[in-house]
Amino acid sequence: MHEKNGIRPQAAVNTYSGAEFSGPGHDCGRRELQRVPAVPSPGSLQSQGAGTSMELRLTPLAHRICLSMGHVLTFIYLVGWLCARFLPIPGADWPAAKLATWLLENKTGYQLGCMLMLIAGGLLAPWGSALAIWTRKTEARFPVIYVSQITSLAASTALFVIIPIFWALAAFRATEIPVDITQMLYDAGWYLFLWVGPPFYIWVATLGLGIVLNPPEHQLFPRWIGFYCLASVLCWSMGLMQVFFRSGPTSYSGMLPTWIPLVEFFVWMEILTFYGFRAIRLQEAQCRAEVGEGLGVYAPHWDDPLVDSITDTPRSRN
Amino acid sequence: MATNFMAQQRAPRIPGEVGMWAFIISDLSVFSLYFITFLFERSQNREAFQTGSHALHLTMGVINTLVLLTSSLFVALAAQALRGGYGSVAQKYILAAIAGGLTFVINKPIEWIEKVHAGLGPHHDNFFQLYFMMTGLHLLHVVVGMVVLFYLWRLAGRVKSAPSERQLRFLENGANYWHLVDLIWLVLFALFYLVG
Amino acid sequence: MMESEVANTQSDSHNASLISTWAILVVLTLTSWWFKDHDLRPDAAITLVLIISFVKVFMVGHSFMEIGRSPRLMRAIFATWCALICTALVVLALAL
Repeated sequence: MHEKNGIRPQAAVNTYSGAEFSGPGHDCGRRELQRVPAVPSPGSLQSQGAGTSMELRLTPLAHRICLSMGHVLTFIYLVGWLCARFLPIPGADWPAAKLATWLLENKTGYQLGCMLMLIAGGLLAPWGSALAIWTRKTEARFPVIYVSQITSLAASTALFVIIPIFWALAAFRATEIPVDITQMLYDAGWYLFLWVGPPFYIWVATLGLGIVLNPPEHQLFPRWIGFYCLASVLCWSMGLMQVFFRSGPTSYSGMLPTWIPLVEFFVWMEILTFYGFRAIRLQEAQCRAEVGEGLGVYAPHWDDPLVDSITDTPRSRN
Repeated sequence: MATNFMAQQRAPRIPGEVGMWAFIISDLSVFSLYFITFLFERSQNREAFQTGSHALHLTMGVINTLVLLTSSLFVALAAQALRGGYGSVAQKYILAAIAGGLTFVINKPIEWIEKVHAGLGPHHDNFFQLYFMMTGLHLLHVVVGMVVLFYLWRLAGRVKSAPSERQLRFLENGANYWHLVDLIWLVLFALFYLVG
Repeated sequence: MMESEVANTQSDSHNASLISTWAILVVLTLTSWWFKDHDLRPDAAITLVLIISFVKVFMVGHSFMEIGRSPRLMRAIFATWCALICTALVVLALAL
């Protein structure tokens, strides 16, 4: 059918790997629609304008901005933690009245701290995406690990920002309302902090499995990063045990569920950010070496001429 | 094959793969922090930790230690047999190691239940809280280790002559995981049963 | 034939070293048990028990996990970890 209409045969053969795909029969006989060869021919970019309807170049700046949110998140969150004076953490064994007074005395700093942790929480998504994208690269056609990772990351981000909302609520009317209500909201904050773990576990475990299980040919992270992610999940899983204790090292103010995982989390985040930057550098070097239509790196230099945005319109038939 | 095998024995090389060592190092670091937590809590209430430690069944602890050490030895022997291409010998060793792991998995809950019935549950004091949490996390490691050993056993069944590189990697990673479980227990045993 | 015999003796000697490591580990375990039963001065007993258990940890790593045969950096990391954590635990147990 296509051949009869004078469209190049290889276009029909390669529709699956091309960025532009319309099912067979979709444009049967519609000669207006120009189909683009999926196999790029050198030089066609210059002669015809954009050859494919989808950008294939790497934009390293965007990647670096998203990834650097790891540093920003770590910094803002830990400053928030200090502002809230969770050092030491008012424990689950505190009487409600003592807690309410503590919150009142410390109110402004505490609420500012909650706000900073809230802001930091939102940054999880761009940072996690900047890592997740490289596991998509290693399972591009049927990316089940990538999709599990992204969905869990989305859930994790949503839960991450809910935590400080409850902490802040506890201080909002502290000592003006019955103190046990204040305590309940404060407890709820800690329940969220330690019990929203599972989506985080799945997110990080799938990131690790994406590195360990996916084919090794196009990996950008060293394999040990994958194993390290799995061990980190094991460390954080202790957070779940806080439910059984109201005092001691396994309660929410203790070492096992909170302090050790908290420190480990941010050490992990910094290490992953470091290797994430390395991954971008590696991908950038690979893309620079690519030859072919539309491929390569989009990294404009200050001396480059301005190019207006060009609206992608179907090209006229020749 | 034999020369290959000897060269492999002599030249310094990382057993398994670097990645597994990243896992082992992070796991050990976390447990190191747990050990420090234990001794810090002990300094806050020495008496409770002393009575707690005396209440534990020392003989049971020693037996569990010997069981894990022996199980570790069997895995090391299995690894050696498998490298030489003796898959069926390795399978027997791994079965022995699994038997050791099973003994531990059965012993631990018996010990726990005995303590809980004596009123020394995880809520009794900080000694027992840490005892249940830390040996619990360790038991989780043992259970995961049993799954790993099962896959090692299956792998050994397939090895008729020299194992492939991929088989060797899985073997050494799995064996090292099991040794890690043993190694952590050695310190847990010292802290809970002996130092207390 | 010759070669495989050489390999076998290699393997046998390694097995022998694994078994002797295990024997020492068992003896050390029983020794630390003895410390608990015979009340020494508590501080001395605790120090000894901790040092013995980290010697055991080192032996498991060195022999069973084959760190002894791995590159120097890895041996150094493992030995340092054993020494550091053992010292930290002894200090924590005695000083605090």
